[in-house]
Amino acid sequence: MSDSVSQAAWGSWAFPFWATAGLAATALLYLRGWRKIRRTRPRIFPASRAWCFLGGLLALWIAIASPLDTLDGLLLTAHMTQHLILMSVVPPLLLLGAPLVPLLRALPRSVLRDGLGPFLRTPALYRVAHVLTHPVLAWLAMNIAYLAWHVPPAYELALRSPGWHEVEHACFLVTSLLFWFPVIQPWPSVARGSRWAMLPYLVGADLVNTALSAFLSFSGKAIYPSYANGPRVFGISAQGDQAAAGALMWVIGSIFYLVPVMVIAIHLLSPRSNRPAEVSRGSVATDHATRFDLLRVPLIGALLRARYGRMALQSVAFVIAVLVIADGFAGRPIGAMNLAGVLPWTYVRAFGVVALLMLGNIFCMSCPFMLPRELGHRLGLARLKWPRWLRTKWVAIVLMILFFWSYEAFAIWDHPARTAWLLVAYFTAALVVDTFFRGASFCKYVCPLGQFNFAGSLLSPFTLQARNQATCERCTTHDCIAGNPQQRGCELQLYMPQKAGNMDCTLCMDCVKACPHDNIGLYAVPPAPTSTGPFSSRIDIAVLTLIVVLSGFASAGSMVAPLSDSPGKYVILLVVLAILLLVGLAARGPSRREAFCRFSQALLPLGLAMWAAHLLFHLFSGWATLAPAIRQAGTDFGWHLLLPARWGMEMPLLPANSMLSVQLLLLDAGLLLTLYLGWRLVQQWSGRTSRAVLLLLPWATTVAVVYAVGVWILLQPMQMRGVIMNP
Amino acid sequence: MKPGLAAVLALGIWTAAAYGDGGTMLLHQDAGPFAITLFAAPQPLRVGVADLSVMVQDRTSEEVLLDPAIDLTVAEGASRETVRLARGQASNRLLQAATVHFSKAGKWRVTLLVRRGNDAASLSTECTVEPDRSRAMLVWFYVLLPVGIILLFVVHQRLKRRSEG
Repeated sequence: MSDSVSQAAWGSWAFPFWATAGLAATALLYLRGWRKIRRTRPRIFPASRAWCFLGGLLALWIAIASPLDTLDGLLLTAHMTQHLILMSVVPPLLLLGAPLVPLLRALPRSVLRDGLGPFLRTPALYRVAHVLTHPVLAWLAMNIAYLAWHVPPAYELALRSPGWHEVEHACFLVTSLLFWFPVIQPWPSVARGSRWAMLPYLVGADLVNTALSAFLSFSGKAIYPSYANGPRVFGISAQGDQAAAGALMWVIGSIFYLVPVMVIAIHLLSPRSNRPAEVSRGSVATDHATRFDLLRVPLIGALLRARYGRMALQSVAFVIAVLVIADGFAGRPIGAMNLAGVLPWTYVRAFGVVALLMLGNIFCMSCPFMLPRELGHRLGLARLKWPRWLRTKWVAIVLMILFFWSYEAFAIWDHPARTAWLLVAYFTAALVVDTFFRGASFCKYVCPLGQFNFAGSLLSPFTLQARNQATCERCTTHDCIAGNPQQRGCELQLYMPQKAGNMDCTLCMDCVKACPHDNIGLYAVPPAPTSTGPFSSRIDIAVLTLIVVLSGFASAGSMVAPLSDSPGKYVILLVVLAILLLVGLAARGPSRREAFCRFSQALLPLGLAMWAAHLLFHLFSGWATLAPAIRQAGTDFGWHLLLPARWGMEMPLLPANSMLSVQLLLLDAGLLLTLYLGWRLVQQWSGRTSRAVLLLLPWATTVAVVYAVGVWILLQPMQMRGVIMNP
Repeated sequence: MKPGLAAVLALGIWTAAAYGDGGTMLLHQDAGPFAITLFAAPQPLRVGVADLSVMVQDRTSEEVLLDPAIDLTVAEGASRETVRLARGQASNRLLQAATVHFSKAGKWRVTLLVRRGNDAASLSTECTVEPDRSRAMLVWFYVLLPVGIILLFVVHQRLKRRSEG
């Protein structure tokens, strides 16, 4: 074999992305749990346990990613080595890491107690596990799987079909984990029967291995047609390859069985005083629950709290907005070739929704319209209070509906000048309102974009909360809302001890900077838009969330042919709205008003999922338009430092089926979270399960219909807005 | 170990995606001075994108040849696509591979033209491309996924109530 061929063979590594990511995540999870439990049980969890578990994961990765895997269709020896690792190296190492408790301890306490708890306490699960780990069954399972998969038809099936090949490997790994379980007895499992039984247990498995290995070595012909009829590499005949594979299984496989036999025998024969002390099996000590505070994270926390951090973000956004307006008025009048067509509608919207779901209201934090607002305030004319009768979301709701309608009616996305006018109008409105009215009246009562973000941020995983409620109770100055000479307080009048959810929070961090006790954190919280305290029975907030939800479906529906020019989508929306109203009115237990409001808010996950699925489609299909749009703007402005734009049809970032997977997965997650929130609501209102189910059923049916409409929309060919089709 | 057995068993699932060696052998045949083997993935071939990989060996010595130029043509009626195979496309570096697009179901003719120095050889075979079911299966999977999770949740709630009661 030449050096180059040898190098090529050794360089044949595959990098299965999901498997690698899964193994890495498992390693991190284990290490997190191992560190926790090591504090209370250092003798049971020495470093060697972690090394064993990590070694097992590494061996597993080598088995599925190394040349052993890529060459297994050509060389039986490589394939058998891979099986040997999966059956005799990976399982003992993983079990030596005693993975159960560390993996469970790594999970958040609430997930463990409320999520997995009911399953883990199920007697049926214990019974199944008891049966599966019984030595007789484990021995039979492993050896039957081992023999059955080496029967030529089964082996050929695995070689022909990737799916069956994966099943074969899974069988080997799972049954071997069961087989090695009684041998290793990972903590905290208890030995079943005498340890002496492990000697015939292992020797018996070695005899089976020896029989199969000997058959392969001495059969005199290649028994697997794929190797017999396929290409021969490295100058080894098919029969020679089979004999070598048999010898490898025989020798190395026997070592893996007989070394534990010796270790167990020596242990059993040694005097009792020399045996390691029995470990205690007492209850596991509890950790103090700690909440994750983003403001405590180095660098990120400092950036968020920096005095001029937000202003820096806003300044960047302002400059971009000015460029967008300029290009909108003076650049090419085609949406997909202009910054005003590409940036706001393809990029900002998609990133904004993703940021809402992943972090929080990042758009409002870096809002470009804040700077003219500040300018208006500094003129000193802001003496008026926003009229009491307008201190609701109704103005913003009307503006939002107007915007969604005009977006489609005037094809704003395809007319850069109209986008530029819209931005100018926005700047003007912000300047005028906040020049004459005190506080953040524009943000709180007028800005439709802000209201969309406020509603969406009810689902965000981070929220500003007091670190210690007692500190707030002792505080007499209330700087978080009143401000102080160095720092203004919350302009939106959100008093920290009473703040519920993220409604009206622009993440400006003014409260954080103003608090003299450093008592405000940005905490990770479960998404729960139904527990929004004073907002939970406000009709205007409920209607706002409904508009956000239903506009997600209407907006996506406008992109697909059957609905784009049809009033059908509005009929669908009206029907859904009517059903929701009826469900709200029919609900008993809470007040009808509260039922309507909270059921409406519980729809947010589904609505935002639809928005994300829709906007990510445009981002992934039009991702390549930004660079040429910037160059085009440079050319239009006469900035010749930039290269000329080269327009062409770009491939989408994801293949069609992958994109659809992402979209459907998002919609699934939205559906499940919506149904879960609905279930929590009816549980609060009704003590009896049957009554709660009856209460939920009509609403859940509506949700299922809305979900089905969403799936149907996603399956239709969608307009490729923001993409150059024919340059 | 007992209740968390499932967590450990789940590791078995990660042996998925272990198939990266070029796919299933479609053809192994001598042609001119070469022994040529054609692999295809997925198997069976379906409408859409497919990976085709080729191993070229010296016919007499069986030495794997890494440097021949290989052109692969797939044709069905008026549909025709020719691609140049490359070693970097295959995870198995003994092979050369390319991605081709089968635009419709039916019998496709796959033709290989192998050149190395002054040697050249050509061979062809027919393969069946089946209709693409991946989109339908994908949709069914994602629509049924919530149903499965809801059922699991129902079981969860029943168990929870029982343990609390």
